[in-house]
Amino acid sequence: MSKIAVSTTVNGDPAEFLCDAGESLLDALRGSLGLTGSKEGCGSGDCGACTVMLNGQMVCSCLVLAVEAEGKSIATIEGVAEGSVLHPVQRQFLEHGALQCGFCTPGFIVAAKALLEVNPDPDETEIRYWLAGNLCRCTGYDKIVRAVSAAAAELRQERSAA
Amino acid sequence: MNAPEPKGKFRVVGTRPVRPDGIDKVTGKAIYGPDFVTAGMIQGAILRSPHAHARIRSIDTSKAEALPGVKAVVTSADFPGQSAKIIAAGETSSSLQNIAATCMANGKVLYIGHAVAAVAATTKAIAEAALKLIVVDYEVLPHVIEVEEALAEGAPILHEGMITKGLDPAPDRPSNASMVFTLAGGDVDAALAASAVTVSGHYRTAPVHQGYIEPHACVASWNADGQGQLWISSQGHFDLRNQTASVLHMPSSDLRTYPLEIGGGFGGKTGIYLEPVAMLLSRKAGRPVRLTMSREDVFNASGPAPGIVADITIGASEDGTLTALKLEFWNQAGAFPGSTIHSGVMTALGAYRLPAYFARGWDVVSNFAGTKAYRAPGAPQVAFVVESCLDDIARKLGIDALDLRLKNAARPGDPGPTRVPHGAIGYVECLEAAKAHPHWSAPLGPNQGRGVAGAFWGNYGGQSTAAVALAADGSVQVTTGSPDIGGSRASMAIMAAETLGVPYESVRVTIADTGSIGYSMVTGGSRVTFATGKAVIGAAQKVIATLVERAASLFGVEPGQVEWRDGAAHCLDGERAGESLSISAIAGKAGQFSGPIVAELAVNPLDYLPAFAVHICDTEVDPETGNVSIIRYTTVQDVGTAIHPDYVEGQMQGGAVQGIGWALNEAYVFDGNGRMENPGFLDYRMPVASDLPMIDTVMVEVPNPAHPYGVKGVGEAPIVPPLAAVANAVARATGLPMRQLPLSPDRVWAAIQAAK
Amino acid sequence: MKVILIEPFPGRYFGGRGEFEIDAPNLFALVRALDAIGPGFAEAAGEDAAIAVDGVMRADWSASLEGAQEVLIVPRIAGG
Ligand code: FES
Ligand code: FES
Repeated sequence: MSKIAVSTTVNGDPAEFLCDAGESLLDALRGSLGLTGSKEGCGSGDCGACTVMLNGQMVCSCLVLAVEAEGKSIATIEGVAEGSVLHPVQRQFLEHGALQCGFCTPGFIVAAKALLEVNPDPDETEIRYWLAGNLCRCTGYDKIVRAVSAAAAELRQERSAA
Repeated sequence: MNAPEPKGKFRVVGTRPVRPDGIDKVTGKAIYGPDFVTAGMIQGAILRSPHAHARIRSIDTSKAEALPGVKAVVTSADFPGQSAKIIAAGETSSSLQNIAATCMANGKVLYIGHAVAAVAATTKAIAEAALKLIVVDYEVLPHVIEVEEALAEGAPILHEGMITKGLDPAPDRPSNASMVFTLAGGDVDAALAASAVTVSGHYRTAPVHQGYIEPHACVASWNADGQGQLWISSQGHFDLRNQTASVLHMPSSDLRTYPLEIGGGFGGKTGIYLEPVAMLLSRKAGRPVRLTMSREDVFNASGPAPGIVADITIGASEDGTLTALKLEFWNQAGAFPGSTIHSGVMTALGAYRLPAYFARGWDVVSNFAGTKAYRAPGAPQVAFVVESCLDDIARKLGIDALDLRLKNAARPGDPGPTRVPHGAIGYVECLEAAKAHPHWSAPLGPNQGRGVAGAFWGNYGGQSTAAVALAADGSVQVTTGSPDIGGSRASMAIMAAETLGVPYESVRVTIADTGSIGYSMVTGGSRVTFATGKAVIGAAQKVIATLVERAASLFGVEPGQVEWRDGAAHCLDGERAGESLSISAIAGKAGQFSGPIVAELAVNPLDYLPAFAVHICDTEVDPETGNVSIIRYTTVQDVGTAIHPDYVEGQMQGGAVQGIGWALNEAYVFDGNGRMENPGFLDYRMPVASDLPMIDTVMVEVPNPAHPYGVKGVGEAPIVPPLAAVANAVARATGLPMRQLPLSPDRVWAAIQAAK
Repeated sequence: MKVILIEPFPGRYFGGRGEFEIDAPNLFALVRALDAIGPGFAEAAGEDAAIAVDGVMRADWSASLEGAQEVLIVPRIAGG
């Protein structure tokens, strides 16, 4: 079976790869593109460890076919920080000890950043429901919720200062 | 939080700095098990049994071997023969035969998902296509899943010739009960007969899974000269190396094993599954081979925690003083013997003063994946039984549930269940803190109930090695062999910085491979901050001794006239009294002394102490649907000393939530063929963020006098009380006993209907 | 010195007997003495036993037992 060539934009840069027709976007990111920050916890859309943004939409990349990325733009955990400046969500995860093993963390950070883009002032319930598609087995979510809340506050402050 | 929280006693211990491995983990740079790649690596895949119990008549791999792109095929015939020798397997021990059979079925498959053959090929797709070409001829045998089936007259026997150990006289016929463990004291039947009240109950829980989000993965490379390399994410690369080398009959030092970041383990990554298979594939293929598990493989073929069936009776006098406890329980151990009945027995007897007791655990095998340690292995199930029964006593006597526990709680100096007296335990302090917490007296709404449960985990110490090395600029390198699952690099750096008197940021921590430092046991048993911490502190103290000696030479005085304080050597006497030399000033002169400043220390401390915990849980039960919501949750725990409070609280919260999942939703559900019906995260329903409230934490600090900073170990205790705390809350909300987990809506609804 | 063994050791190696009076300079010698009574015990103890001397768990079997009153040999309990 011959491979299919796909042209995309990944974290703002042009990227091209070859994939099998049935290959998931997650496998293409982790394999051909060497971006192993997105994790596979289940491969069935149930854990959120593979969360990426596809044309601005939050998706489980394990449920997206790699060929579907043709002509689209993908944002992954590797692109969340600007150079070596951490995004407030990343910084607050660290400040709050919101990760233990850290395996779920990339998915949570991509999802949380997406939340704060559509809802700059989420309450606890909104954070919990937005993140309900991301599994964390280590933390019990408490510190994750606090970190996201703190990041929202930080971003609001930044915005009002600007 | 980064805000310093000075406690007076310590400078760095008890603060909350950012973990040293943090940035790699929030930016996606950290390399976990499935992320590692090495030059020339090819892909493996494993053929797994479709039958719960079957004899393998033959395996024909010829077609698979002929498929282009296939580089190697392996079956149990490629494994060297195994002895019945017992070796350490994580924190438990197991026979080499069973460890090997966990990696590859030998003669018989014992569960659906049991590995029967493996292929390595240039791509994963080719390897998977090759699996379909392997022909296995099975003679299907009847299977058993539940304990009662496994022990029934005429039940199919999993391990031929297995005679129950621990019974006197020994049975003369083989059975599926591998072992019995009993602790007894006093005349329990007489004490129960004389008790003012007794309460009995029959309890049941299902097997559950640790649910770490990272599936198992490894890369192996084994050369023709016998030397190999292994890259794994595990709770202990030394122990996994030892197990792999033993199974493959190779010297341990021939197998250099590199730790990758680990995406959760909770006890489930203390043993080998893929490693020897990948090694054998690599040896045949002459290439490094990667093997990974899918989520379904993880559920079917790694090591869940046992279910339990239990009968208990507890007696008490009118004033609530316990008189006797009688417990018999049967662990649903899965395919291989060795589930944790010992710790179950200890859990039943260790928390309260009991004048008379009898606790007996049975280890019973059946046809699903062999169980493995899961956070406080063996304890949560038994604590569910004991703490639920205690709640019945409290209700029957009209005594406050915390008062009943306070009246009977084990205190320092009381004899423990094996007669070893309790050390500086803090159960009473925890119960008092729970009572004083506003949660305990907050009002409840309609359909709501409040449950409480206390419990403990024994913790562990054991062997660890650590090295502390100073660079010429005075910065500090700490090296250990203990994988960091939940922030232990940070706690090691804190303890080293505290001891040396230097800033936290000047200490960096490496988890070294097996070729770079001496042995350390698995990260498990809540032992790392305690035991590896002791090694780090001790090595740092040796470094200080060298610094002081060298400073004395530089000052021209005796070492006794030099004091190490605040990260510098202070001259107390002589001409230069009052002067000081910084760590860098001394370390930079290594060329004028006997060489660089390095100290390594190997330790084996057993003066660890158990961690006690008390959890308070409020639930609301929907009478229409039977759905249970957790509306408030508070955890109280004696943590000894919290080295990095964020990660201590994180352990308390994470353990509580795993326990909530165990209580409310999680269970292995089997169909009539022994097939797990829910081997995915959609149907094996672990708690998500929207299921939960904030988890309040109260850290009680009763230090362990045997650790320089008072560490006790915190990781496991938090999963022990929640099963009973949740069940007691539901029982109080509904007025009905809740003796079988999980408390899924259908089960709770049926109980409510039956009571109408 | 009083030596107390907790199951499974008495049943497996000592015909159910769980108490002995043995004097030994250190735990290695003590375990050897017990192995002479219950053959196979030494190997099992090396794998599975935890030993407390006067109520305190002891890791180092070579340390002196001078002055010890009671040695308690119990199964090693696993962690996770
Ligand atoms: S790996 Fe995609 S949701 Fe789990
Ligand atoms: S930090 Fe381990 S799964 Fe979330």
